[in-house]
Amino acid sequence: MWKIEGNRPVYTQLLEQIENRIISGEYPLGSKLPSVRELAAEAAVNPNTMQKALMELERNGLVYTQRTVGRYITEDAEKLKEIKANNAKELISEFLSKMKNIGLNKEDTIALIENF
Amino acid sequence: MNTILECKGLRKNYGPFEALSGVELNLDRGKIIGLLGPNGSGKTTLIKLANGLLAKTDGELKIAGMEVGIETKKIVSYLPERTYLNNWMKVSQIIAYFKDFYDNFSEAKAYDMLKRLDIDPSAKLSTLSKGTKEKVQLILVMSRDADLYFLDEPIAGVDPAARDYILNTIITNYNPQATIVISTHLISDIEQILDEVVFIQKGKIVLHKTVDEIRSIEGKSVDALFREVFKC
Amino acid sequence: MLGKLIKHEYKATYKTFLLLYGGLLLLTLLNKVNLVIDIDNPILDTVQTFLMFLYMIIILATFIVTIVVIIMRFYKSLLGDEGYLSFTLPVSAGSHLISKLVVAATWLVASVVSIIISLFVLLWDAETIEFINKGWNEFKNFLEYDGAVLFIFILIIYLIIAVFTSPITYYVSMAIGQLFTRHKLIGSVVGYFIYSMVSQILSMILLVATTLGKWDLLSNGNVDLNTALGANEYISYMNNLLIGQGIIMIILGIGGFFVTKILLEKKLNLD
Repeated sequence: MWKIEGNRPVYTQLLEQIENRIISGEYPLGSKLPSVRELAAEAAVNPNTMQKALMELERNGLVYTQRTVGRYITEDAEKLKEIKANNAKELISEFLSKMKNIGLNKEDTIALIENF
Repeated sequence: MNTILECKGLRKNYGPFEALSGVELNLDRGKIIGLLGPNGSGKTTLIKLANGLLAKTDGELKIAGMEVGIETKKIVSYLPERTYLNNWMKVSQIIAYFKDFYDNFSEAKAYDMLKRLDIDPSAKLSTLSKGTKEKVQLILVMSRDADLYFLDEPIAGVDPAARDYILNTIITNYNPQATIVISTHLISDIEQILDEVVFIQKGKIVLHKTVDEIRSIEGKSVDALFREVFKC
Repeated sequence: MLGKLIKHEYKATYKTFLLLYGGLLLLTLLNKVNLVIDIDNPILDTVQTFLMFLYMIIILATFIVTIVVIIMRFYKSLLGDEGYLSFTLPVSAGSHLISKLVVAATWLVASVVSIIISLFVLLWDAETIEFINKGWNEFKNFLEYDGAVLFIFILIIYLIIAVFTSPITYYVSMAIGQLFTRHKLIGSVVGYFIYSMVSQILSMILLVATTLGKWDLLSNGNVDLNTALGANEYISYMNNLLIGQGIIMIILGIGGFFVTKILLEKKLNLD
């Protein structure tokens, strides 16, 4: 299910959600993506916006276009690992800063996690 | 040419009352645009002018580079807020009527949509509920392969399932050569399908931006911005 | 496009007239049967009176319904909610007007002809046949006079003009009426008055002008219709009169047409 919130640009949210689907395997590596129009209809968004998101993904190397055939997810597993790693880094950084806000530093946090 | 609608210094007076006081507006092809403003802001006047239902007082209004007339009516498809179909006809008859007068009307598309919405083509329009009549009107408008669509409150007074179907129809009918202008009060329901929004107030355009611009620069939804700009 | 508009106009109106003329036919036949059956029976007499009464009602109804349909078609399809559909079609206001006018004229003629036929059928008997024969002979005599054939010709054209221009009276009134957003009905009545006024004044002027020229003819008793000369003079007077009135009707008709067209193009005021 696509969830679009009101206060952030639509295309960034689409970008994130497609990325997540690729990472989670919902869109398997090397598989063909539905057409822009189909995706837009599914997400109930403007096709131009969906197109913008997909082009950004192409720029990031997650998606490529085969002319006259359509868009495909990259087959490059390394690329995927890279994106996963980057996303993970961001999440961890966010998490650690939140922990810091409640007074726990990195070592305390790791200890808590190990005993989780 | 990429500009589908062009207004320069457009004015419309009803006697002493200035409904439009110098509208400047350029709309490109291939966009879904929200025309938003409070009641009495001039939205309906602008739409009526573009459809040749009113004559302008001053200024310029061109559609695909042409003055409003028979040629522009061929490429403009209008869904008014009211039910405007002749009640004595059957659904199949009004479809035949549209086919007769509009070269770019697709009978097949219309019947397909009727089937999906479970509407009986042999039913008399007068026997249909208000909501169903509105759906029929929308089907007729969207079955035309026009260059400019004006939808005036297409989802008001329609149940949520039908609303989804209508938005879905608008998205899947998307044509990079055509522009859809949606005038509505239900901004939060449609803002994610809009490319751009135009705010109109007291007969003048006060804002014309893309939805994403507004969200990234203002950090709020179009709906929230609207409430701010048009606070009573 | 005009052909399509006309086709749709007929489609929108034919059922009403089918019903009307059907009723007229039915009552004509019923009454005819009654007239032919000449039995003395109080019940039958009552039925006969009742049927005659219904017959008169339907004759009246034919006139009224025809005019009402003409007015309502114009109003509903161009000035009511349907106006949003009509005026966004890729056709000119002029085409709309012409299509309505053509169909209105057709029904006017059809209604008049239906009534005439109905009366004929009803009154058709030995007496009538004799009366018609006599009338036909008188008519043939009449045609011998100078200008008589011309008169018939002019009369026919006059009637054609009348049929085509009388709906315009209503159209112009409604086109003026719709200008007054809140008082459309009163506006229509006002429009009707103005148009009628103009029409009367022009006709009056022409009538006087035509008659003045022949005043001596008509007032001095110099005209003896029984003489060939007198009759010829009188026929020529009637011809001039008809031509004059006909021209006025054409002018008013064309004027009314263009006023309506321009009002619909430039001053359309749909709710």
